[in-house]
Amino acid sequence: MNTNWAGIGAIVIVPIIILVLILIVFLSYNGMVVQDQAVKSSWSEVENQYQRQADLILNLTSILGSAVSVETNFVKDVIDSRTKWLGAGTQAEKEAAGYEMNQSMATFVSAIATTEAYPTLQANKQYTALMDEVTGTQNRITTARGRYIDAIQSYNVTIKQIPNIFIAGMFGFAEKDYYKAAAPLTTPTLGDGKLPQ
Amino acid sequence: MLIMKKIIFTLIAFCFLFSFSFAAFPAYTDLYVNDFANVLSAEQISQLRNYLSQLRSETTAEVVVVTVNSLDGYAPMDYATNLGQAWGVGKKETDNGLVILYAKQENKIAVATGYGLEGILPDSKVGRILDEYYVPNRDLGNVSQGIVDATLVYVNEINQNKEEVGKSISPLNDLGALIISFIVFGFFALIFIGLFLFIGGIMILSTIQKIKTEGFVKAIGFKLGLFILMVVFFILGTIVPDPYRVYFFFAAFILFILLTGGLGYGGSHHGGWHGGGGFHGGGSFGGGSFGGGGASR
Repeated sequence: MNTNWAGIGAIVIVPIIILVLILIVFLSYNGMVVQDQAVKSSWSEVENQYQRQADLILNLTSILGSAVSVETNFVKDVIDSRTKWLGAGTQAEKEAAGYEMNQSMATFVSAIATTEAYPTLQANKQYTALMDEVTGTQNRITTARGRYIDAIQSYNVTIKQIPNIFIAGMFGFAEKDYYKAAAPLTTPTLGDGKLPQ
Repeated sequence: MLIMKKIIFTLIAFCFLFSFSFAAFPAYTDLYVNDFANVLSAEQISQLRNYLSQLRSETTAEVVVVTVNSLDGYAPMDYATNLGQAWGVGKKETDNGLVILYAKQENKIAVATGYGLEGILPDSKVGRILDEYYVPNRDLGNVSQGIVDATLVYVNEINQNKEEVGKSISPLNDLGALIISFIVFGFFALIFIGLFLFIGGIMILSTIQKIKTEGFVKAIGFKLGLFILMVVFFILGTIVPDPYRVYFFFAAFILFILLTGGLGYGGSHHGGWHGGGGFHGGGSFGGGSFGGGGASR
C-alpha cells in the first residue's frame, strides 16, 4: 500500500516545532517576569531609604535647637525637600523628590559638619549619633539607587534580546526609565568655609 | 603538535582574562584577617583570628578585618560596602557580615554592616564604638591597637545578640534564590529541548513503524489529543489575568512532559550543578549582602 510520507511527516514534525516554540515563549516570559520583579523590589528598597532619610530630617531639626536656626537657608531647604518628598504621588514624582531631598541633605551635612561655627552641636552626643545615621542613610541611598538602576538596565536589555523582543509586547513588558537629574549628584563644597545664609 | 601548543596557549591567555576581571578588589587570603598593608603585629592577627573564628562557629556571623594600602580613590564606606558585597561576607540567608576596613595611606577606617546586622549594629552604634575605642588609640599613634579594640567590642555586641544574628531577613535574598532557580530551570530546559529533538527522531521512526502495522489513528490519536490540550492550556494562559497565568502555563508544561515522557525514553537527569567550591583552600564566605550601612572615621 502507499504510505503518505508527506502527511506523516507533517503530522509528526510540525507539532515538535510548535512544542519547541511554546517552550521558548514559556522561558522567555519567565525571564522577563523575574527581571520586572527585580526592578520593583529594588525600587521599594530605594523608597524605604528615602523615607528613612525623611524621618531623620525630622529628628535632626528637633536637635538643632538654638545652635542653628531653622530659618537658616540650608536648614529651610532640607525641610522643604522633605515636605515635597512626603507629598510625592507617582513613581516619577517620588524619584525626583527623593533625589532632590538627598541632594539638599548633602548640602546640609557639608554645611554643618565642616564648620567650627557650631561647637555646641559637635559636642552633643545625640547629634553625633544622629549624624552617623544620616551619613549611613546617604550611603544606603547610594547603594540602593545604584542597584535599582542596574536592575532597570538589566531589564531593558532583557526585553530587547531575541526572542524576548518579539514576545515582550504581547505580555505588556515595556522599557523602563529612571529619574536623571539635570545636574549630577555632588557633595557641595563650601569654598571659603562660610555658611550659606 | 603545533595545534596542541596553540590550544594550550589560548587556554592560558583565557585564564589571564579571568584573573583580571577580579582585579578591582584584592582577593581574600583568610576568612578573618587580611592585613594587606602590614599594619597589625603577628600577635594581634593571631588574637583577632581566635576571636573571629570563635564568633563564626558560635553565631555564624562572618566578621573580617581588612587593611589596604590605599582606597584607590573610593570613599571609605563605598570601599568597605563594595568589598563586603564582592567577597560575599556573611551567610546568604542572614546577611550577617561585618567588614572592618582600614586604609593606611588615607588613615581612614570604615565599618560596613551587612543587612542582617543593621538591627544589632545601627550606624550610630558603629560610629560610637569607633569614637570610644578606635579614635583614642589612633590619636595616640596606635592604629593597630585601635583596630583590635574596636573589633573586639563589635564581636562582643554580636555575641550578646546571637539569636537575632541567626534570623533570615532580606527579601532580596529570596529574589536571588528565585533568579538562580530560574537559571537552573532554563539550563535543564535546554537539556530537555536537546533530548526532545533527539527523541523526536526516535519518535518519528517508531510512530512510522506503528502506522505501518496498526494504522494511522491508533498510533497518533492519543498523543495528538494531549498535544491539542497542551496548546489549549497555553492559549488560555496568555488570556487569563496575572496570578492565574502561571497555573495554565504549568499545566501546559506538564502535558509537554507527558508527551515527551510517553516515548519510553528512560531519561538521564543530570544532578550536578554546583555553586562552585571556592578558590581558597580554607573555605569561603557565605555570600551575604551589604546595603551601605555602617560608619567611618
